[in-house]
Amino acid sequence: MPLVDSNLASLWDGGPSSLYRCEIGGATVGFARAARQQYYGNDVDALIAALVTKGLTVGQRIVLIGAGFGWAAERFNELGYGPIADGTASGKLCSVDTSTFIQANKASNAAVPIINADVNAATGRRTMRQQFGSNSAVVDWVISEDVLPILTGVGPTPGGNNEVVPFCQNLRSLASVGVAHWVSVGTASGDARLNWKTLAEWKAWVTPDFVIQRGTATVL
Amino acid sequence: MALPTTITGISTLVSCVGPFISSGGNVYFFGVDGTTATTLQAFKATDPTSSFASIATQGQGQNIQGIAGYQVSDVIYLAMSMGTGTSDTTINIIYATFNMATDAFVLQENIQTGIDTRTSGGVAAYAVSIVFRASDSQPIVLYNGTRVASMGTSYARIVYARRTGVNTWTTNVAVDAGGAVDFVWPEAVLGSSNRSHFFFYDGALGWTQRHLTSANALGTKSTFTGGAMQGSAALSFNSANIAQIAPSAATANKMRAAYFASADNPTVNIGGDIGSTADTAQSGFGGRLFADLADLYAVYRNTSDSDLYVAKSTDNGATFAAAVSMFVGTIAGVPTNFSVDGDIFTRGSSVVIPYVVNDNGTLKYNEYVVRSIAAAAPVGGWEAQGAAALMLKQSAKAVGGVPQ
Repeated sequence: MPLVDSNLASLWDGGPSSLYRCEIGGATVGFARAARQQYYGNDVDALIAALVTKGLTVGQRIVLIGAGFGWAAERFNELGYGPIADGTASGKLCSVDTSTFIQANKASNAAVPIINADVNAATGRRTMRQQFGSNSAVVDWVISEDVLPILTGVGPTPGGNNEVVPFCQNLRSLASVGVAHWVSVGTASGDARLNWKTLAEWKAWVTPDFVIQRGTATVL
Repeated sequence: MALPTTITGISTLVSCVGPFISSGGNVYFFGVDGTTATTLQAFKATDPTSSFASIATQGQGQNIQGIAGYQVSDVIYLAMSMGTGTSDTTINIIYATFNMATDAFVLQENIQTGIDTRTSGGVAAYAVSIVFRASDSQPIVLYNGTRVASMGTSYARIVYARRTGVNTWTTNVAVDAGGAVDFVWPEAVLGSSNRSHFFFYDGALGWTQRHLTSANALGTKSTFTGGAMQGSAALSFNSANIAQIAPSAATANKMRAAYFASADNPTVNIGGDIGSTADTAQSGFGGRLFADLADLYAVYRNTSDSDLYVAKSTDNGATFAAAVSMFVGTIAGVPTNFSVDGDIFTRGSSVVIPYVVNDNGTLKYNEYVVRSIAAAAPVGGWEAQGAAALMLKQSAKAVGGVPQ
């Protein structure tokens, strides 16, 4: 089981247990579209720039795992990495999130389709390929968005029962070019429920995948 | 008596604000009481070469951790941050005014209270900055506002507040870019057309400038250099040229100036290194800028001898002449050891950079003479001529009255 249940509204609603919380106009706001700039800022631009250094090019097919309301995909699309996947071979960007909170609230917060499919299941990966036109459609890049911190996996290097290694293997089975993990790294103020590691420690866990730090876009 | 003048009764833990000169020719600065950390002290000297004395105090609810000031005629607009220390989660942002004509504090208002400003490293962010916008008589305070939690980690944010009426503020207006990044070290200056220019440090991209028009429209952010966090100083001078001093991204342990003419979405230029090649380290102190009409002065600390140096630029900050010694002492490399928001002024026949410095644990008032002026005293003496004759303030300030 992941360290937190992303289906719970309390993880997203801006309350005391929420992973997302900001103040807008005197009101506390959780993971809602009105706060998109507060949470994402220029981070996606920096992510894309880092991916380009590792071979990302316009025209490649990209799947974003743990995409929330697809705000990163919107920015990818704005910068020319679209169009959004529509079930045909012309699509390039697919946002995926299995959280029931995300699925229940996407109508008012998402501007792109958010696919409910589990990358850890063969059926889920097939569903993702279908977004690009067929069961055998090629996906070039698979990028996880801050999924690693909710997965089990103790210590600076891989070992023991954990969810990180199988998750990465499943992402690799979908990607033909590369896998990257966009991740917030351990800090003094990090929520104690989550799995915090340094970027170098995450790299040790997910090699040969790339790890890219949220905010600074440092890439290993 | 001779300068420097020793100051007693003021804490060395928070930068003093000023010095400022009044229309009556008296010199003032503000600092935290050396015994009671919740008390703001106003110090005054009729002859700063002799002594300063406390002439007014204002009690605050928490320990004062940061102070900023802005002079308009005889009124000093003050912004303060309050909290118990580095890990405090309930910080207050306070506004106050002081009238040098009556030697009294006039106002005290809460801008925001009980906010958590900590960085992702868990350190409370206390820096504040203030300007006074003449077009609508509104003070504008730039500060670290309520932090933002993103994926379980919280990040420091830069916001502004604007006083729209008595005890009425628009607060927490986001200025930074957002995202999983800490934004710290706010610094506001007033440019032309009542445009405010905001500087802050973006933990991912470096020093950033963004302007606010007189109609309260925020402009586009521009990041212009990198460097370690050491605080910064910026000012408006000579018909609203803007300059800011910050650690150089190109040369280790050097300062550089960012400079531009005040405009919407200005192109920010980066000047050359400040100081001689022998100044191997300027770190840990932050720099200060002063202006004498079109001449810009950068003040910095040289780590090799713990002394202060000053370098002059006649091209708005693009290049600086060789630095000269300004103060010989033992100045530790922390930003709070030098006063903030003071201005060059004329006292007697000298145009001076006034400052309060922490010299090895002792606060001292001192002046660096930029130039001398030759002027015969008018009939009736300087005092009879009032502010215009007595006080020559070199950097641009708006004209305002006593706030209500």
